[in-house]
Amino acid sequence: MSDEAAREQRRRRVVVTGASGPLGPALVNVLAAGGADVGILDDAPFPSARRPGGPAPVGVGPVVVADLGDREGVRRAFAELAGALGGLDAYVHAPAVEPPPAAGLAGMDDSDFARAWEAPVLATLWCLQGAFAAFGGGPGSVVVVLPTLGMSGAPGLAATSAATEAQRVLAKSAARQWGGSGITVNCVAVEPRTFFGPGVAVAPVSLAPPALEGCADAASVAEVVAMLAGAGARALTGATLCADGGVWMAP
Amino acid sequence: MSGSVLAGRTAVVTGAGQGVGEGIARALAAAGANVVVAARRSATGGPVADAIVADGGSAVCIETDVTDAASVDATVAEAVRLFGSLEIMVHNAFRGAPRHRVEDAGEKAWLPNSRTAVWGSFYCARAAFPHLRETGRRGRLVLVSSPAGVEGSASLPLYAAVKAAQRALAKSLAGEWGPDGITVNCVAPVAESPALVGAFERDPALRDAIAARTALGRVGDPTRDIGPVAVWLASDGASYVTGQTVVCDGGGFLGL
Repeated sequence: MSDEAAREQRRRRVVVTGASGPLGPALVNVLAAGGADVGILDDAPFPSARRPGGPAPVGVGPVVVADLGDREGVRRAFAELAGALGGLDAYVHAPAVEPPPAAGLAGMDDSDFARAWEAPVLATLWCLQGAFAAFGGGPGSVVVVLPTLGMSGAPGLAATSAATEAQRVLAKSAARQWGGSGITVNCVAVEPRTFFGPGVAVAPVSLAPPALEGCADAASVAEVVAMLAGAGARALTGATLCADGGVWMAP
Repeated sequence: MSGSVLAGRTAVVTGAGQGVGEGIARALAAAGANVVVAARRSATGGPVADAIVADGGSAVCIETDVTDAASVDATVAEAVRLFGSLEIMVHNAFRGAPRHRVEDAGEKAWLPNSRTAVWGSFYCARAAFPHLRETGRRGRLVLVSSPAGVEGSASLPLYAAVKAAQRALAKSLAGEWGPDGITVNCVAPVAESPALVGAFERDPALRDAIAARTALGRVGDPTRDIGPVAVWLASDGASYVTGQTVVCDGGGFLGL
């Protein structure tokens, strides 16, 4: 049996960031149901007080709590999770983000802007670096889950929109740099309420209703993420798949 | 100076002491605008302003650090004091980091990219907004992004990320400021900036590689190729264009 075939037969070892967020339980459940061993990296104890009464994932493996803004802490967390899982094959980055309050950019102060713009991008950068190290130079899959508002723009959420698009293009650059190591990096863009929860105030980006009713929910998104995190998507990298039920259809 | 499409309007152009910013400043002045050459050092910005004046245009140089909100606020206030209004804000100033890899990039590489491109955009937008709003629907904000902000970069990933952020800022602000008649757009040039010229010197094959990728087979000139696009975006002719990124790269990026 070739090394590649042996790898595909082995259970996928996946780390999910953001299991305490709106998408987290579905991501963990779908990945675990597909046979993956799932470890969790989160910035809050899990299950989180962020989702009191929310559905708990059933496929929980090792859990590490770390401040995603702490580069060294994130690196240690990935090392610990990879150690517990026996390695790492895929990383799903879907950090839980509090719904940002809508505010015009011209009225923002520096601390609000730093929180909305800089913190999420740096957290993504540190997590990508942690995953890269945990892949150990070998193949791997990274899936970054983002709201569509980076592509569409979002009046009232300009800094959040900027941070989102920066993360999406950072993923493209990582895909270009890491392809030679067999590491794929892709994005899944989801409806903002699916990502942040129902409290986020976003303007509609299309006059048309979603082409697919009922397909922007967390479980449907998780199926797309699982496909990209699986071994079968190894020819796909630097791509963004819109799993919003068919709202944002721009190239 | 022969143009008049922007006569009576005032523009602040950051990073106008050289390269693309200088090209945009010269083009705006040639179209009749009063131009504030906002440069980090008057040693570079001063000669640009002097050259514009020598050509019959209207320009002054004001030292500006786009990473310092107070500095940007002061430049905008001085522009309004000198010329009476501010219709056009162009944020071009940028300082990045040398080639880097995603897995190695730390805050040392991140900070100059973020501070100049994104924080600078924030400070310029925030300072300019009350004045742009007062212009009778002639307010224009133009952010200088990059094709890398669309397609990513294998050599400068943090540069690509912050340039992408600028595109999203423009889209969002277009929606926020549209009711006031202010347009917000990006230009994404590939042109002979000092940074690119330096890269050509280090890698002589790079110029041909970039030119070969473009439909027009050459690298753009900041004044002749990029400046006129900024002039158009600043003009009444583009008053119904907002939230867009105009890629000025000779036909290199064809992703849309």
